[in-house]
Amino acid sequence: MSTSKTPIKLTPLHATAQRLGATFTEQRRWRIPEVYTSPEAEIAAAQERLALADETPNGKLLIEGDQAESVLMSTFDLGSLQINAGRNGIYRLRNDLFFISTPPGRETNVQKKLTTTSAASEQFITVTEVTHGRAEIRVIGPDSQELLSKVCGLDFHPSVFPNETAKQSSLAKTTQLIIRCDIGKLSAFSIIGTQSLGPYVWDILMEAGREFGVVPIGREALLALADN
Amino acid sequence: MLLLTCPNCGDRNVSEFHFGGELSSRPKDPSALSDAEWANYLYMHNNVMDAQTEWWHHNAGCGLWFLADRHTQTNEVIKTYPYTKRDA
Amino acid sequence: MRTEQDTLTIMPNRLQAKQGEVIDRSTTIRFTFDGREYSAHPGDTVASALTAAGVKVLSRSFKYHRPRGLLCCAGHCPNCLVQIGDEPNVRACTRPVEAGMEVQAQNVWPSLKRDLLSLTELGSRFMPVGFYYKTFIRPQKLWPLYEHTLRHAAGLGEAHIDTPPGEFDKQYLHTDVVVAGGGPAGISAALTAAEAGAQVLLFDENPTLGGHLRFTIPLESPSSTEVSKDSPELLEAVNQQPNITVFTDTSVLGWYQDNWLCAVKGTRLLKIRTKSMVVATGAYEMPLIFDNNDLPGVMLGGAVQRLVHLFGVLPGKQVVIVTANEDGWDLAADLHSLGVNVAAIVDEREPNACASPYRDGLVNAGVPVFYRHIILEAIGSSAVRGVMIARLDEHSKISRVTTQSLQCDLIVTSIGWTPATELAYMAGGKSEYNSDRAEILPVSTPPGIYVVGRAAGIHVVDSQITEAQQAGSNAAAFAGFGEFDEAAAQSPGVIEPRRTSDRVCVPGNKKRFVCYCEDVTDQDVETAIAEGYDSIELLKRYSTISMGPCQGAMCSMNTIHLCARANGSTVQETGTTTARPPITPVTLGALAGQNMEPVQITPIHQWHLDHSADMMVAGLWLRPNHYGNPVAEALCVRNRVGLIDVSPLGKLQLTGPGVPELLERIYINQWRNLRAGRVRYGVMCNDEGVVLNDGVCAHLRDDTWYMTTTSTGATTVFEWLQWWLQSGWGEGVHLTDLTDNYSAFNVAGPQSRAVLEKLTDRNLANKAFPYMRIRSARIAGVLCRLLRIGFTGELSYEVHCPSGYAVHVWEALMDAGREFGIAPFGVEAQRILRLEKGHIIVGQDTDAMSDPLSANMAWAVKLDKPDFLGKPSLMRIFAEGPKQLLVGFKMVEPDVVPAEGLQIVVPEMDGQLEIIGWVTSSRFSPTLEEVIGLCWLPTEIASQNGTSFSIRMDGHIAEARVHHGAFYDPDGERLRM
Repeated sequence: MSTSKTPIKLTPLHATAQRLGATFTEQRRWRIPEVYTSPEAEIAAAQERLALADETPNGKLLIEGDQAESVLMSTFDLGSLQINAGRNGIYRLRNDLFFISTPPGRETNVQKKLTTTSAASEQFITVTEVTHGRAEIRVIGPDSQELLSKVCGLDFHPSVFPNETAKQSSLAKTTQLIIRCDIGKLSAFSIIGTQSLGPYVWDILMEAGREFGVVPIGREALLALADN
Repeated sequence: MLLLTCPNCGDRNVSEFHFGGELSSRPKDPSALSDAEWANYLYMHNNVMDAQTEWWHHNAGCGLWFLADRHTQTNEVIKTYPYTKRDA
Repeated sequence: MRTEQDTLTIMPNRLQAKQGEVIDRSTTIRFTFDGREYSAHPGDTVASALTAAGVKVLSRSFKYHRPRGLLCCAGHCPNCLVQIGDEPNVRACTRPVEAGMEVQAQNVWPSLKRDLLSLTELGSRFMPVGFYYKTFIRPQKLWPLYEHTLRHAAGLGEAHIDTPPGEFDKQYLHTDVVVAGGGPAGISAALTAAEAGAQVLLFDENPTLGGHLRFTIPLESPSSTEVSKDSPELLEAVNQQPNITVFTDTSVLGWYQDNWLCAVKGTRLLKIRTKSMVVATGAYEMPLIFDNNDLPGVMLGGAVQRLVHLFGVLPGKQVVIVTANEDGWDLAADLHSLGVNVAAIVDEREPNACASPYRDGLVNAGVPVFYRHIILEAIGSSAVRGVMIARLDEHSKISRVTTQSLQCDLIVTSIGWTPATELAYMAGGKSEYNSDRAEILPVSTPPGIYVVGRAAGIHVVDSQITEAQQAGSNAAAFAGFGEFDEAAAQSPGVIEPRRTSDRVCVPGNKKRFVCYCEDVTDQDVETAIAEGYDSIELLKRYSTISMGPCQGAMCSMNTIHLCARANGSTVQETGTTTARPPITPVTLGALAGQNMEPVQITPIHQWHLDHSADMMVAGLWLRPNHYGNPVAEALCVRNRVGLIDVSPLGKLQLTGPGVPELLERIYINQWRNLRAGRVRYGVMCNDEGVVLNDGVCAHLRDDTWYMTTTSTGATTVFEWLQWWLQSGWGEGVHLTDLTDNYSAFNVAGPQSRAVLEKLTDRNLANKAFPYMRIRSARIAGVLCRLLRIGFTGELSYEVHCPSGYAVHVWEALMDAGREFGIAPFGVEAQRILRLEKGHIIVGQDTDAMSDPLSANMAWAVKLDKPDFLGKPSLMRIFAEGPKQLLVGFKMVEPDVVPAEGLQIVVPEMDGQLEIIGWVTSSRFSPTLEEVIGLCWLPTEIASQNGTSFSIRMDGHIAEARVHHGAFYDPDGERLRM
C-alpha cells in the first residue's frame, strides 16, 4: 500500500481561487486561499465595499430528531432557540433540525460529544457531518445586503434578518442556507450550499458584485478583520 | 407573485415551492380495494372551483411538505399549516 | 467655440433660456440622424434636439409608411421610435442625446424622406383591417416569401445578431408603501406615508420628479391652501425625508398577486414586494381623430408644453389650438406669454361655457377664437401647412358650408385625458365611465391600493395634494404605520372644471387614425365591427388596436367610444380591454437579467478539463462524455482497468429503526432481510406501477442505510422520500442528502482489484469482500466507502470518498493504476459498456408509461410483500400481462447504428407502415463488434428470441433481431471474479 502523499483537502472553490491568482495556505489539512492581491487591499475592500471569501473548511453538522433541542441544550448549555435563530454557531432550521457551524477541525469533537449525549439519552437523534458536502462563501462588507438583494428574494434588512439568523432560500436558482454573521459592525453573510454548485454561486456573486467593486479575499485578511 | 407562508420559514415567494396536488391519502389497505376504487384514488381528482386543501413543498427552503387551503378560482391562500395525521 | 448666433441657426426652433428647463446651454454636442449631423445641448432628448433643428418627420408608419412626427413627447406613442446604434425601438422623445450618437429612422426604405414603401398606401384597399388573417394565407407554400416581405415592410428596427450581449440584472426590493408616479399627488402621498414611519419607494418614469408641474402652469383653485404646489419645494421635501427612496427613469410594468410589482430602470429589472400601493400614474392625453390627424405637426398639448418648458424648443411658429375645455386655453395663454403666434383657438363649446381665467386676456390681445368650431382636416403632405375647420350647428352637426382653412404649421389638440389606471386595474380595482367627465374613472380598489391625482380624475393641484395626503396616510396605516384617515378627503371643494371631450372622431374623406402603432383607422374599426368583431376584446384582437408599442395609451379610450357608437351602446356597456403587464414595452434583456443557469461540477472537474475531456450536460451536471476515444476507453475497461467519475450519483443517508419498513414500502423488491455490509439493487415505482428510479442501497450498520439513485433523479427521489416520510411513513426514519458529501469513482476492469490493493490495507480478496458488499476502507489514507458493484459488467469497485479528498483519491487511483494501463473513461464508454450488459437506464429506456414487468424487471417485483408503492397496480398488470416489452436487439448488418428514438415498423396491405415500437438505446459494441440496442416491441414479437423486425431509417428499412439476455457475459461471471 502506498501513502506517498499526505491527504490534503481541497475546497470546491480551489480551482476558482487558482484562476483568481490566490496563494494558498493550509488550515486543518484544508488548502485555502491565503492572499489574492495584498492583505491591506483585501481588508480595505471588505471594510469599505464588498468582499467574498471561501470558508468551506468551517465544520458543519446537521442534528435531526424530535428531541434534538433537548440534546443540544444538555450538551452545550444552550437556551431555547426560535426557528431561524442561532447562538454560538448553533442554528435552528426546523423544529426537529439544527445546523451547527464550528471552526475548522472542531466538528469531529462536537459530533462525538453529541453522539455520546444522544446515545445516553436514548433519544432517536441523527448527527451527520456535512462539511465536505457544502461550499461556504462568506460575503463581507457594507454592500453585502445590496449584493444579496440582486440574487435572492429574501429581505436582508437587519430588522427582518438580524445577526445570527439562518434562513434557507433560493439564491440564483439554487437552494442555499444563508446565515447573517456580521463581523463587529461590518455586515457579513455566509452562503452555505451544495458544494458542486459552489463555483457557480461564487461566479454569480462576483458578477453581480462587480458594480460594487467586489474582490476575493484570503485567510490573512479574514483573520485581520476578525481581530479588529 | 403569490406569497406562501411556509409553516416553518414564514412568508416566501411561491417560486420557492413545488405544488404537490390536492390532498388525498393513500388508502390504508390497498389490497381491499376494487379496481374502480383504486383507479379513483390514482386518477380521480376532485378539481373543485372552490377552496381546496393541497400539498406544497418548500423545496428551495426547509424541505417541509405542508398543507394550504387555497381557492382555485381566486388563487387566494386562506391558510397554510403543517400536516398532521388527522388531516389524512 | 460657436457663438450663440451659430447655435440659433443650427437650432432655429430654440427659445430664449428660461427657468425650469433641463438643458445645459453652455455646451453643444453633436449627433447624427439618418447620417446627417445635428447639434444638441446636454439634457436634450433626441426628439427635442431634432425638433430644435426643425426636423418634423421622425419615422414612417407601420403599415402605410406615412410620415410621422412627434405626437405625445411623453414616451407613450409610437411616432418617434428610432434605432440608436444596435438598439431598435428607442423612443426619441425620452432618450437623452449623447455626443456622437448615431440615430437611424426605422421602418423606411430606402430613406426617411423618400420611402418607396409609402406607395403601399395607394394599395391600401388591399390591406383592410385584419389583412393578416385574410390575405397571404394561401397558397401555404408561399408563406415564407410573404413572411420575409412583410417583415421587411413592417420592420420595427433591426436586432443585429452580432450585437454583444448587454449587461442586465435584477434586484429584489421590499418595502411598506410603493408610490407609482412622482407628480404632485405621488410626492404628497409619499411624504405623508413616510412621515407616518413607513418605508416608501417612489417611482417615476421621467428623469426627475415633479410630474406635470415641471411643464404646466398649476391650476389654481378658488380656495387658497397652505400646501406648496411649487415643484422645487416638493422635491426638497422628498430629499429631506430619509424614509423615501426615489427611483427616477423607472417604469412600473405591472402589478402581480400579493402586491408584487415589476419595474424597469435602464438595464435593471426590479421586483418589489410591498404592503400597500398608491397609484399616482397620471393620465394620457387623448388624441382627436380627424382627417390626416397623423400629419407631422399635429401634436398633443402636453407635448408642446414639455418641449417649450423642459427643452426651450418651440415646434412651430404659427399655432392653432384645438380644444374642448380649459386645458387648451391654459396652453394658449402659456404660449402667448412666450410671444408665440397663436393663430387661432378652436373650441367646440359655446362662448359661455368657457370659464378660463385667461380668456379675456387672450381675446383682448387679438388671438382669434372660433367657438362652436371643430377641426376637419390637417393640411399638408409631409408636415402641417394649415388646418380646415368648420362650425357646429345647433344639433352639434358639422356645418360643411362653414368650412374654412387657416394657415399654420402646428396644430395642437387638447381635448381631454385618459386616466392611467392600469396598475389599479391589475390590482383588482374597478372603474366606471363617468359621462359628466367623459372619463373612465376608478370607483373602487382592493384594500391597500389607492389611486390619486390625474389617475383618479383629479386635475386641480390643491385637490390632488390633499387627497394624495390622505391616501398616503392610509397606505402607511395599511402597512402598519399610524391610523387610518377615515374622513372624506379635505378636498378644497372644487368641482373639477375639466371635462374630456366625447367627440373623439370627426368624420371626413381622408385617413383618420385611431391606432398610430398599427395604422388602424376609424373606418377599419367600423369594418371590423360590421364583420362581427363587435365586442371590445374581439375588436382589439382582430384589429390589433392597443397591441402595439403604445399599449393602448393613445387609442384605447377612442376605440371604446367608436365601438360604443357603432354598436349603438354606451361606453359603460362597451367596457374596457384587460390591462396586462408590461404597461410599457420592456427589453427581453431586462426580463432575462443576469444569466443564472445553475451548473453542478464535481471536485474532479478541473482534472477532467486538464485531460482534454469533452464535457456534456446531464441534468445540471457537467460530466466528461469522453476523453477523446470512447471506444478505446470501453475496451480499456474490458481488458485492463478504467476509472470513471460518478460523483453525480444521488446518495442518501437513512437512519433509524423505521428504515427497513420504509424501504419495503418504497422499493418493489425485498429489504428486510438485507444484512449489514450488503448491497442490493432496488427499483422504485409510483402507485401507478411506473418505474421512477433505480439504484443500489447498502445496509451500513444497525440503523444506518446508504441509498444511491440515478444522477439526474437524485433531487426527485429526495423530494419523493421527503413526501412519504412527512405524510405518514416517517416514524423512526431520518433522511439526509449526502450526494455532495461523497464523491464517487468507479474503478472497473479485471485489474481493478490490483489497483486498489496498492492503496489500502483492506483485504479485497473475493471471499473477504464479495460482489454486492459494502466495506469502509482507507484508500490512499482517506476513509472511504467501498461498494463492490458494477454497471459495466466487469469486476469493479465504487469508491465513495469525502469530497474534500476527491482530487487526492482520484489522483492516487490514477497513479496506482498506471502500471496496469488505467485510463479514465466517460459517460459514452459507460453507456457502451452497460448496453453490452443489457442494463437499462431509467428515463432513457423507460418513460412515464413503463412498468417493471414490461421493462424486464419482473424478477425484482415481490408481490408477496404486504404492501409497497405500486403493488395494487402491478398486481393488475401482472394479471393482464404486458402488451409491450423492453428487449435487446442486434442489427443484421454490422455497420448500421439506428438512432435512438427511431420507429420499428411493419408494412401494411396498403403500403403504409405501421409503427409497432421504437429504439431506446443503440451502439456499436467494440467488444462484440456488432450493433446492439434496446427497444420496445409488442410482447408477441419480443418474447421470441431471434425474431426479426424492421427499423425505419432515413430513407430505408434496416433489419434487426430480438436478443434475450445480456449481450456480454450473460452469466455475470466477470463481476464475481
